[in-house]
Amino acid sequence: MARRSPRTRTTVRTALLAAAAALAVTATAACGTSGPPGAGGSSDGLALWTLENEGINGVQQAAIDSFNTGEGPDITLRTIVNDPYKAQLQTAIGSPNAPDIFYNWGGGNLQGYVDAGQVVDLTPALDANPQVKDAFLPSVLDVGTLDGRIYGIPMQGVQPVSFFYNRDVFAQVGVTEFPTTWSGFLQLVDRLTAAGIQPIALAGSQPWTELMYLEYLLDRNGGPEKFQAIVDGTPGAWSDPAVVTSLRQIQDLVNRGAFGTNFSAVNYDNQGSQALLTSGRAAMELMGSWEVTSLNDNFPDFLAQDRLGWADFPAVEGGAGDPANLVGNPSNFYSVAANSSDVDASTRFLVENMTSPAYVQGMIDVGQVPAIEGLDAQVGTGEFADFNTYAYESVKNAPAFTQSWDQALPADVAQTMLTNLSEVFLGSMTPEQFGQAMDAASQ
Amino acid sequence: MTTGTATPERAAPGTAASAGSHVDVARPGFGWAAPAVVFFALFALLPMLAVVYLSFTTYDGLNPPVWTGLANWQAIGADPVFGESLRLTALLTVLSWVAQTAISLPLGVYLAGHQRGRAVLAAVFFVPLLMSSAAVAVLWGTLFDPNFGLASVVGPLVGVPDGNFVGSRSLAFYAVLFVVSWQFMPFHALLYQGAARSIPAMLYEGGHPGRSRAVAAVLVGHRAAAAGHDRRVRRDDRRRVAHVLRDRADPDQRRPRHAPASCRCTCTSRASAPSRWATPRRSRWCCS
Repeated sequence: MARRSPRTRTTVRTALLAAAAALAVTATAACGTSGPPGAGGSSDGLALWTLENEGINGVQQAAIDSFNTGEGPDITLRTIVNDPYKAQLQTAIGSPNAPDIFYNWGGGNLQGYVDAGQVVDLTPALDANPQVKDAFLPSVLDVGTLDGRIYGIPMQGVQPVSFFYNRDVFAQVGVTEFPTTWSGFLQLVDRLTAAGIQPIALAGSQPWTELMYLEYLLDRNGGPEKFQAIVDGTPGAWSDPAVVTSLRQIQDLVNRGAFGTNFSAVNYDNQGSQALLTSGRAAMELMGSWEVTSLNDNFPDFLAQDRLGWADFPAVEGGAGDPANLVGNPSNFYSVAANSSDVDASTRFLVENMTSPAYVQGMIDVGQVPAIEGLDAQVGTGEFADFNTYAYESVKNAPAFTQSWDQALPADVAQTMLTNLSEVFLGSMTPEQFGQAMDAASQ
Repeated sequence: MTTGTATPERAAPGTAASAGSHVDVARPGFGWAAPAVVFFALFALLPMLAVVYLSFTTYDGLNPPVWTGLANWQAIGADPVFGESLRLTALLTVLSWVAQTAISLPLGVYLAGHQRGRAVLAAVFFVPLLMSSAAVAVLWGTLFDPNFGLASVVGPLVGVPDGNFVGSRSLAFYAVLFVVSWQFMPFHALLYQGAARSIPAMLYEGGHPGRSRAVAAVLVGHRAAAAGHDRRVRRDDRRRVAHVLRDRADPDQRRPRHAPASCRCTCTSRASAPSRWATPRRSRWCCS
């Protein structure tokens, strides 16, 4: 019995290998939801959770350092990467490891926590400090306001969505001005197609890029109230004629060849659509304001040669929405957890710092456009002054700034919506079927 | 039990505990597996049971779970997407096996040899398995880009002019199958390599007509053994190998190709064949 046959040894080795592989998979999968060590909820300090971002984290740390020199408990900054953040927060909140102040997206993302009684109502604190409350751009503060109470305070830059285009390509087909009406836009599409250029780069393998078209078209066709009805869960809101019209316009674009034939295989994260835009194989892309810094990182020549143009989403003739309305990410927000060991100190940190000149200037210095009144002169400086001024003025003058739907809606509904929307783009679902499917999913 | 202080009473039955210089090691028992079992139970089994419980509730992660009985399971039954995903999973399993076996088996047998440059190739073939799934996703995501990736070059050659593999309803599945196979082929080649290595070296000596049949039998035996037919197949294997060995009983034929004619084998008894099978090593020859 002391010696074992090679066959048995092999079997054991195989079994061990398999077990090791299984454990590796389990361990990897577990990483996504594993709880954070320490850092939160302890009585001797406060924890602030935010997303990892090289530029912004420095500004946040500076604000915390200045707060920590004063009286009261100290705050510790904890940064987490984007993808596991939502799961980690959901697991931690309400537990002894919960953060005291946490980063969130406002809207539907915050609503779940508010409904569960996990978030502090910041309205009284802001009412007591009107100079802070009035400093925020109203269209942005609205997104952190739920049922008339303020639960989230804007903490970083605004990210409106707009069209970005290749000036060289436009010049090639003799167009100098970006169209301001939908019919003009369709003419431009046809003109580009006739010239053998793909009019629009679309990273359709990531449906959130497709969602931007529906967000803007519904706003232009029916106004922001139509999406508000969807958020409020009004029965039949997804089958509203304005939604159906918007989806028809999308399918019309697809059928005209506006996105080419292979858009569903193009990816945004590996610069698939940006490469189309910068190489001149496509003329434009609808994207959030981060497009500028992203293009600068990946295709610096494109910006250096001043070939990038930007423009508002066109107005739809006869539509109810104001053409100055925006969609995108109004900002991200800080909220205070209800079970924080020191709600007063956490609130005081936000009230004292989020509109302070040092914090605001720090954000501008790292390329952010803060959602604060009266920054016209300040945003007009630095590397991306032209675009930042455009973005800031757009947000300041926007009658309504609708939050990206995938953030504003509950996660499961948002996922179903994205799946169904790509079916519409692929022509395998009609606008009416989309409305019915989404009305059913929202029940 | 790792030092010479072990007493005979503590030695497990069947081990040679007499010589002081010997390390007494009992046959691995449950104790050896305990750390892994605990880890597995804690991080795989327990969460799995928790998920079974949660499948009978509705739970948003914030509020306490609410018991809903069989509602979720009934919803699955009524969901057309569930049936489709089951079908695709089954198809992916079967086609992965077919594709990976067809390539891994010859590759593994080749890697079990002693050819020049084999180790270098083995290391190269093994790279996909060492890459994290995230890295594989980034790599192939870029290669499958329809406008700038490899797909834009290969596509027109195989009848996909716009390079749209991953965005196509009919082709996306095969693109996934391809990448999965690419990543896991090295793992299966490794298993086949191990199986091929455990074939007695003597079976490769001389070019006996029965050799390929015996090799095939061993490989098939190893595959079947993994499937749970261990004992029966092994007995079967031994019979076949013994048969091959009987064919070669003539001492002259058993002499290694390069051994002088005066060499004699010292262990030619037929009875030793099965044990030689169990512990592969070259037969001993003494040359006067």
